[in-house]
Amino acid sequence: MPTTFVRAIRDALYEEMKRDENVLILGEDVGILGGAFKATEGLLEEFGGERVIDTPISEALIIGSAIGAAILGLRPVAEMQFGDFISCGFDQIVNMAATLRYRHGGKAQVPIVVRAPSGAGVHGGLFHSQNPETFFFSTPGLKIVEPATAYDVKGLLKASIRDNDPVIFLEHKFLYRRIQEDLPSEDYVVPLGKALVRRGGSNLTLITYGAMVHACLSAADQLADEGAEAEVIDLRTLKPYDREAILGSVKKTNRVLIVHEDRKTGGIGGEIAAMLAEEAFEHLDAPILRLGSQDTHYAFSPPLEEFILPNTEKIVSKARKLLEY
Amino acid sequence: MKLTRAFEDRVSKLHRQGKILGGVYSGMGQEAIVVGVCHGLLKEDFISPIHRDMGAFLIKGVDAKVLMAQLMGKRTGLSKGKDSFLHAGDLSLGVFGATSMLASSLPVAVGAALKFKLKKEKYVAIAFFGEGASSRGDFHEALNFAGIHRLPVIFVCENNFYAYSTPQNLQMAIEDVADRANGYGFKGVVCSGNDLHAVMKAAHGAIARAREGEGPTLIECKTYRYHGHSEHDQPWYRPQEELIEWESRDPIPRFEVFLEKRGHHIDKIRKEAEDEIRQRIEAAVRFAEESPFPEGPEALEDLYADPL
Amino acid sequence: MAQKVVMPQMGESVVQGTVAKWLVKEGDRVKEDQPVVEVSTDKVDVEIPSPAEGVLSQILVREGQTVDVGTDLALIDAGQAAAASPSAKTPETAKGPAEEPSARPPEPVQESSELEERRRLSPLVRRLSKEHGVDPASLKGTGLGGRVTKDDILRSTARSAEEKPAEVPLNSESSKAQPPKTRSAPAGPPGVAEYTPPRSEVKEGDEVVPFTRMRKLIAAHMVSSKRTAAHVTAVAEVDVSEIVRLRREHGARLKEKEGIELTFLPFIIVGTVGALKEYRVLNATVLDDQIIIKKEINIGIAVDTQEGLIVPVLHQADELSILGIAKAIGELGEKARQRRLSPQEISAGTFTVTNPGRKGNLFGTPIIFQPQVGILRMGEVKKRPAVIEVNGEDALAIRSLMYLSLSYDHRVIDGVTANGFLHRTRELLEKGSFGL
Repeated sequence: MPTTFVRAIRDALYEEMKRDENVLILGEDVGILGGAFKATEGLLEEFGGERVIDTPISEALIIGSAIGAAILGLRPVAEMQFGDFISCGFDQIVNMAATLRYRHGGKAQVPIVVRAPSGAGVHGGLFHSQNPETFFFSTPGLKIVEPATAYDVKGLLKASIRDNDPVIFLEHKFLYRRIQEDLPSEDYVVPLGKALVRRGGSNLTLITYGAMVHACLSAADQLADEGAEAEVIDLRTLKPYDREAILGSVKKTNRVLIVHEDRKTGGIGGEIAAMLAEEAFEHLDAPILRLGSQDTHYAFSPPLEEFILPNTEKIVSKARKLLEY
Repeated sequence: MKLTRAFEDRVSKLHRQGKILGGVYSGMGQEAIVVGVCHGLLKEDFISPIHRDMGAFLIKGVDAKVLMAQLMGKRTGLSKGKDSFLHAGDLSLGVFGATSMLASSLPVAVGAALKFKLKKEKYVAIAFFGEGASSRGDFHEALNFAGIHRLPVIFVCENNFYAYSTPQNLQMAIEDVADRANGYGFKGVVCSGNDLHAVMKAAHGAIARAREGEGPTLIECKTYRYHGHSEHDQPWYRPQEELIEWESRDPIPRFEVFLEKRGHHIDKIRKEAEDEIRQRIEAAVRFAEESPFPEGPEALEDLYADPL
Repeated sequence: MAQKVVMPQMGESVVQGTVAKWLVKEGDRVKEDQPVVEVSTDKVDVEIPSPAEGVLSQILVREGQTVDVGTDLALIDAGQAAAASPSAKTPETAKGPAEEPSARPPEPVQESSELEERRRLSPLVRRLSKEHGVDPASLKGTGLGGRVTKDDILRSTARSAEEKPAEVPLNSESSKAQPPKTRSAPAGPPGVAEYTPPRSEVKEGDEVVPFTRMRKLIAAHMVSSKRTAAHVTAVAEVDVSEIVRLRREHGARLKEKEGIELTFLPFIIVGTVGALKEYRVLNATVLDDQIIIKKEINIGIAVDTQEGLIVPVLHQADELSILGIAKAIGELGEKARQRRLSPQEISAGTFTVTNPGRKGNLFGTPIIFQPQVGILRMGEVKKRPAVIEVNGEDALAIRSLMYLSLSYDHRVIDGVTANGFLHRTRELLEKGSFGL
């Protein structure tokens, strides 16, 4: 029986809470309702109100109290109902959590996970579609993870809970019920900091994460029909990103297209492109190309959303330009 | 209290000598609050002091040497030089370092109290803040949650009537910050912050209640800050008479009077205290001055518990 | 109606010419066939006649500028009366069809935009072309606008991209040889479609022998050398009867007493070295557009081994006696066969002598070892009837004769020089005493 992406999240939480009594969940509507997306369904019944806490609408409190509990030994998993609301807890993440270990002389740790349903394509409009990774990308002391498959979301969430640093865990809501696969019943983790080659190829490299991984794989199939083999790299962890994997692939194919749903200008694709230009200059047979959302807000009306977001067609078209060069 | 005052005095001088860099925030005049509240706390009790509460660190057991080194940015300080002043703590002694975002540590203190409740421990969390910090959203979110779940946390407001230059009437529409507690479903208490005994009474009562699971208390201590907001601030915005009036209520002489009335030989006590204090402070300054600065590349350390 | 004065093609390989001198001014009246400008090309200086009668209304290319063949140099206004606009500075009047980019003064070398596209090299292509010793300008690119891509480089080389010569059986300098950065012509004459040779099929019964590393290196070197130098071969017939006699006289003794093998090769080397001292330009290498005439005379001696040709180098051969040369040859040959040569022993050669041996046939057209400019090949010694002079009279005799083939790089050595060198070599070989 295949497990959906969102169910895999739920299972990961369940298993970790069973495994470690210090794991607890807090957020809006996580207990009684089981979460706005049902990611915490049934956990209140199983573990009780002290470990699954329905909070007031207080993002700063959700994250701040998670920090307070974490430094004394608990492992809280804080949920932002929508990733868009993470901005209400920005100070707690960037100034409190990210600096805590640093200013306490290395004698404290903040093992929190902040889960945030992000991403567009669900007619969410401006405040239910955001991709907040760049808000935190340059803040030291944080880790940022964005899985693309049901297998990975379960393994990475477990790894994030067991990790001793603050992890921003971005769950692309487009994938919640749209993808599923059979998952192993035994315990497994997917390591943080390691990208995965989803598809091997020798003509060009597609570097991507989140929902765009699937669009890239579809694009790669189309490109294969046209005689070009695309290598698709799923970053999985955004901070820190797997430089070795990226460099290894680009040195092989010499042509690279970075695809993410976040806006093109200021998206993390810029950092990756600059790193490649710096460290793989002599391996580039074409300019480094990027594809992201248009530099505007995630508008609501369908034709606008269609125009704004990357998709398989746009990826194929951009990849063709890269190959033609 | 004398230790705190003497310590702060020295710090102030060192700052003006250029030996302590950055901002230094004096709590002179307010010493009774931290002393009164923290007196008798357990090591595991969690306190989150504000920038004026050097005394809190000392009472909870942080070595004056380490604290002085912290202020001088030396490697032997709490932060190993990473942040200045009181943004660092020592969790093994139950001291949590705040950030510059006032009131942001209140939710963290609430989180600590949450842990104590979950683990059925009898410890308490104490969050200090100024009256200005109570204007921030984090104050509201923290007290609201603490009230809902009756968490073992005490909120101690050090109301010295000025947030930097902003007088209380521009900070809030009410007289007593303690009145806010009502809105969160628990008790608010006002006391004289310069009366050591008053503070101790209010604090011990609140702490005992918290330990018994009766939930939070908001204690407002009215006090006055002798120096400016920071050592580089000349508080011309305050009327001179105000300062004079409050100086007459200085907590230290007040306590000395109390001791004398109880039959203690105040001169002898004072002398012994001052000798001991002087020695400790000189030792602290010596230690800090002789301690090494951290080296540049150390700036990259201590970011992650699990570096990838 | 405007006519144009155009840069002509003076010779098949000429692609550019320089305007040397304008013989008329803007505004001058010219007659048909009247010389209007002197141009100079690689081959020849020439006057260009006006194509029509009229007024030279606009000069488009200034003196000293070099332009591609076919570029418009000036406009003739054929229909104009005597009063022509004498504006020499700003050509406002006769704009016409003459909007060539070549009219812009600061660019002496005119390039069509297509040529520019082709020259655009990505960092990867630049690196690969350096590593493989391939000149991208000599390739036809399959990328956008004719850009040379990585695949183009790889297809054009015999070696695989990962190859890096560790042990160097060849003359190590030649294996590092770069094709010179000359202004090479576009690949192939215009109008000729690119030829793709048919691919060899492997059928049952065929034996497939993969290239060894050495074979790959040799293959690449040979092709590269052919593409780099302008090979011409001249052949001389040398009467080696005297050498035969000396060999007979001294050979056995030297072999027995000193273990020296006195073959023909040491003699040829002595003669070659003597001639090189006089014709120094053959003891040279090419670097970009410079001839580096080498001070040392280091003779490379091609040796055939099981795996292929190796060329150990006899350093400062001009300071060795013939016996010294013979001894050194013996040692080098032995080391070469045992693959024990050191890097110094296979590097810094300035001229090569190759001896195919007893079954070497009459003559050949050897390939120059880069970056040298000449190579001398020995042929078989054959006894033939020949005419000699005895007491002032012609007589018939049986003489031992050998053909010496000299391949030389006609980029830097002209026929006169090459023939002079070859002639001198022959002289030294026929008349020399060799100090024995």
